[in-house]
Parts: sequence; C-alpha cells; structure tokens
Amino acid sequence: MGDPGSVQRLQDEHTKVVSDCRAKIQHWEKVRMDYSVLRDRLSTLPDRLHYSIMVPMGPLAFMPGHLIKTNEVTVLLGDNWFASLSAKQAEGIAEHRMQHVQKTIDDLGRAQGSIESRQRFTSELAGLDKERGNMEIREELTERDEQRKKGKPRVAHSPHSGSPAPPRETPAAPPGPRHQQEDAEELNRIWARLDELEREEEAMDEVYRAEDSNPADDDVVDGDIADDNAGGGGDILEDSESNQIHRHLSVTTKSSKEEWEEAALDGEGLGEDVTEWEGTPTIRFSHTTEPKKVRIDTGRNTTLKFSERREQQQQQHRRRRHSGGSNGGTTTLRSPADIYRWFVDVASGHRRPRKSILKSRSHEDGLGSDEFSYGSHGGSSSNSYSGSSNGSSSYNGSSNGSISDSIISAIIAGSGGGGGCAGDGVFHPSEEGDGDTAGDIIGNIVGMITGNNNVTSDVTSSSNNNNIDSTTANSAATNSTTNNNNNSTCESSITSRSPTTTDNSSEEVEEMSRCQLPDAFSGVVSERSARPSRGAPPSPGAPPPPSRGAPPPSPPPTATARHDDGRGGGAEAVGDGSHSGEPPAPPRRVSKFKAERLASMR
Amino acid sequence: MAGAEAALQKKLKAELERYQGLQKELSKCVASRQKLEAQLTENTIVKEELDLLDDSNAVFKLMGPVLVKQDLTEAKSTVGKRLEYITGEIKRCESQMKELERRSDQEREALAKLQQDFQKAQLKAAART
Repeated sequence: MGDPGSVQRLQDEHTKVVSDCRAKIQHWEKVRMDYSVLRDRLSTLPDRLHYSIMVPMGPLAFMPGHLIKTNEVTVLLGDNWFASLSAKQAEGIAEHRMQHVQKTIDDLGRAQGSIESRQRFTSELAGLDKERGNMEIREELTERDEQRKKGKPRVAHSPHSGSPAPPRETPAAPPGPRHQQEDAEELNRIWARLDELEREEEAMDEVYRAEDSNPADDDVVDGDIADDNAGGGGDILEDSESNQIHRHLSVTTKSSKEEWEEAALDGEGLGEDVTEWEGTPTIRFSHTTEPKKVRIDTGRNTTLKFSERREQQQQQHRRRRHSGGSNGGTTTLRSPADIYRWFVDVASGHRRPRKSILKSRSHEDGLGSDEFSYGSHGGSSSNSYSGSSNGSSSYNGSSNGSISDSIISAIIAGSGGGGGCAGDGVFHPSEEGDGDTAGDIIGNIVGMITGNNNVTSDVTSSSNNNNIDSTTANSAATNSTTNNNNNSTCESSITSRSPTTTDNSSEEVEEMSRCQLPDAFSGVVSERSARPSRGAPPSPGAPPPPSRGAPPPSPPPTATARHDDGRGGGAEAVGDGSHSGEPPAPPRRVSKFKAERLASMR
Repeated sequence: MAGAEAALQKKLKAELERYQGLQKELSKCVASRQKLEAQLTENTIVKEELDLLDDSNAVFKLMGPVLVKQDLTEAKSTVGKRLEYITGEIKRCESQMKELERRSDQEREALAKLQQDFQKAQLKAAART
C-alpha cells in the first residue's frame, strides 16, 4: 500500500461497482415485485366473469369499463412474440419469469457482496498501514551501496568457483531477487562439497585421536562453520592438528575463503549475513579450537593446550619457508591456531602458549588486551623478537630511541606479529585478511593504547619501568587476564603506576603512538592500506598512507576506528583520542571478530 | 529537419486516425455483440415458453401494429431458427472483434514508435534551437 493515490482510486472503483450493483439489484427487485403482484392478480382474475374497472385511456384519462374475458391473457413471450394463454398458464409464466428475475437478483447480490468485501479489505489494509505506521521500506541501491560492497565480490553460491561470483548484496542493500534456480543449484553443490569435507574432517579426526592422548578440547567459543565449507587440500596444515574447521577453511578454495572473509568481516551483519547467505543452515564462526594436545599450566589457573611438537613443526616449517631475516612485517598465519602461537607470552624466554585468545580476557580486547597490553608485551616481545630469527628485528631496530619507542616498537612488533606472535613475527599481510588483521590488531593496539586507560597505564608504567622482568611477569599475568583488568594484573607485576595517572599516560601514549606509530606502522599499515580493506570504504584506507608522514592522530584513530568498526569506516571511536568507555567495547567486539576472521581466513 | 519533422507529424496523424478508426469499429462490434446477446437470451426464453404451451393457446406475432396469429409449431420453428441465426451472428461478431483488436494493437505499436520518433525529433529540434 505504498501509493495512497492508487489506493484511493481502487477504493473509488470499488465504490462505483458496488453502487452499480446496488442499483441493478434495486431494479430487479422492482421487477420481481411487479411480477409477484401480477401473479397475484392473475390468480384472482378468473374469480369473476367480468369486472368493472376504470380503463385507462391514454396517459391521462380513465374511463369506466368492464374486464370481460377474465381467463384469456395475451402474454408477451419476448421478441415480439405473443401467446394467448389462460390465466393459470399466464400465472405459470409469470412465476417462471419471477424465478428468472430472482436468479438475476441473487447473482447481483453475490457480485456486490464480493466487491464489498474486497473494498472492506482494501480499506482495512490502508487503515492498518496508517494506524500502525506501517510503511513500505524501500531502499534504492545507490552508488554508495555499490561501493560498500566488499572489495571482492562475494561468492554467493558456489564455494568452488574460482571466478568471482556475482556480488552479493550487503545487508544494507535491499535483497534483490535471486534466481531461485541458480541458488538451488549452487546450494546443492555447496551441500555436496560440505559432505565431502565433513568426511575428510572425520578422517582427520581419527588421525588426531590417534596422535594424542588428550581429547580435543575447545576452550574457545566454538562455532561450527557450517560444515567446513572449505575445500579439501590446499595449503594449510600439514600440521594436521588444529581445528579441523580452520584447516578446512584454510584449505578452502579462494572463493569460499572470500566468502568466509566476507562473512567474517562483516561486523554488524555478521550472523545475519552468513545466515542470509546460507539460507537454511546456520553458519557460525568458530575460533580456533585449540589443538587437542598437552595441557600446559600457564600459571594462572588456566591451562592451555599446546602441542610442543606442533610448535616445533610449525617453527621448522616457518623457518624453512621464511628463511632468515625479518620479513619486514610479514608473518605467516596459516591457521587460526597460529594465532595462538603468536599470542604466546614469553615467560623467561620460553614461549608459553596462551589460553585461548578469546577466553583469555573476557572480551575486551580479544586480541587486544593482554597481548596488547603492550607494555607487558613490549619488553618481552622485543626481547623475544630480537631473540627470534624473524620478524621484529626490523621494528626493534627502527625504534629503540626511547621508552616510548621501545614500547611502540614492541607493540608494532607484536602487532606485526599479527597479533603478537612472539615467536615468529613473520607476517604475511598478503594473506587474505592478514593484512587487515594485522592492521586491525594494530588498530586494536592503538585503541588499547589510546582508549583504554588501564592498558595505557600499563603501557606507560611498564615503559617507565622499562623492566623486562616486570613485563615478562606482566605477560604472564596478562596471560590469564580476563579482560581489561590489565590494570590489576599489570599492577601486580608492575610497580608504582597508579591508574590515576592514566590520563597523563594515555596522553603520553597517544603522543607516542602518534609520533611513533606512523613510522612503525608503515610496514603494516601500508600493507593494510594497500589491500582494499574488505568492506571498508576507501576513506579509511586513505588516512593510513598520509599518516605515515603526518603526525595527526589519523593513524591511531583510523586504525582503531577501523578496528572498532571491525571493518573500517567511522574513525570516531577512538579518533577523538578520548578515553571514553566506548573504545573498550568496540575493540573487544572487533577483536573477537578479528579472531573469527582470522579463523575463517584460513 | 523541419521537413522531416513535418513529415513525421503527418505520419503520426495518419496513424492516429487509422487507429481511431479501428477503435470505432471495435466498439461497434462490441455493441452489436451485446445486442445479439440480449436477443439470444430473449429468444431462449421465448423458446422455453413456447415449449410449455400446447395447441390450445393462440400464438401471435407482432408485426408493426398488427398482431398476426401464428401456428405454435411454426412459431417454435421460427424462434428456433432465429436462435440459430443469432448464435451465428455472435460468432461472426466475435471473430471480427478479434481481428479488429489485433489490428488495433498493431496500430498502437506503430503509433507508439512514431510518437517516440517524433519526440526524438522534437528534442533534437529543441537542442538545435
């Protein structure tokens, strides 16, 4: 009922038809009445031989006369045909006609009734709309919507097609008509593939179980990606551990990877997008399910499943692949589990795996809070990095001028590790979404720095202390932290600094970040900006490059904002440099998404 | 270009007239069809009534101001024939109507096209001037 004019017209038409019907019915009713009178007259007419009547002469005069042959009636049969009939026969005819008329009346009545009901319905509908304020929501696809679509066209239907499928509409855009058949076919294909993958998965499961004594345990938020949308084979996991899902994901063909990325990247419409895409089956995103291996006590009431062997394997693998030097900010995150490796803390030089990223800190900054309690990480990571063969040596080399430098570099290194992989620091932003991930992580970091008082306090305090021990202890502490209680944990390890100094420290940090980040970030940020941030409008991409040269708070806000939004866009969250309560929330949320995305990315 | 426009205009007018002519014929056909339908019903009723009568009743036919006595059987056959005639007429009229409709559709399309051309020419003229 979007068009009031048309509604009105419809109602008008209805009214007209109804009145027509009513008029006709009236006419026929009169006729019927006439006939019934006639019938009565005919029935009584033969009672007498003749009647004296007033005979009408013309239209204006009457004359007394007699009605004599009362039984003979000449009846017009129709079409200029007459018949002389007896009164009774005439009566019969009259009756006959009356029935005919009655039938007509009934038909008209029914027609009228239907029209009336239609009319009523129309008016009800119109009224309903007005009452409830129902409005037809229509959103036209604009250019901007076109742009808002992810950089890569999402493969809507087929997980196998290497070529970009017709781009899906984002949730913002009105769902256009999909070709049902297309959908059905592709859906079938997808299902077939999923079945395949499921079987593969089960096979791998067997392998896992054979390998390890400990049963798999997910201390992560578990979602099943709706059935292992990944294709078989692929680059991942010769380390057959990990999340089957992630393995599958990593193994996935490009297109499905895209899908997953897309889906994962979608901040707001995350679940909806996915389910929208999937149709019936639900797609849930899973984080890395911890490799079901050894439980390690990380010293804080947590146990982490961590497989030394796997670590070694991966390290070897990585070293093989990325032999020597730092990759200038490239890290290999081949599977979501790799994230865990990055998120390890360095405790006394020994890399200790962390608890699941997501669970570690309840959620403020999934990726962010602990590792990215950069202060803690800073020293340790820098140490570890310098110790490690890859990675952050470049960062370390670059900064180191001051405490802030070290912190930032550490942070960067941590972030360059794609989230703080202390060990590798090999970061391939070129990997799907990795760049974004790193960038987001960095953003997160920055957000943490600027936004989170607690963290900043940590950072500054730790920086001030420049105490590796404290940081390492802090890292140990941060391992277990639940959320932004970095404050508490860090304070436990770090001395003096009180939260009250956070403002200053945060400013300080901001300053530092502002100064330092551009340089340090350059590698990562450039990576990030180089890649069209998925779904991010071009504008956020713009700030990072200029920020490189410019001190304005653009990089932190941008990165943070990007992070905050989960995808890019609105630089408002931390852009104002305020330490509002807001930043903690978005980063957390975003980081979770990031983790998911990382997970899905594989 | 003015000449082309004028030619277009003329053509448009001609087409329009033709289309209107077709429409008129169509409406005529429709009207006659309606009349025939009414006659059909009427004669059906007459036939029914006549069937109800027997020979004792006199049947008359009105011809002008005169009521002419008719034989019942004769009347029945006459009415029957008339009925058949009417149905035939209706059929013919229907086919004629279809044909007219088809032609009018064609005309309509041609007209639309011509209109478009004309508008384009007008636009061009407007652009030029």
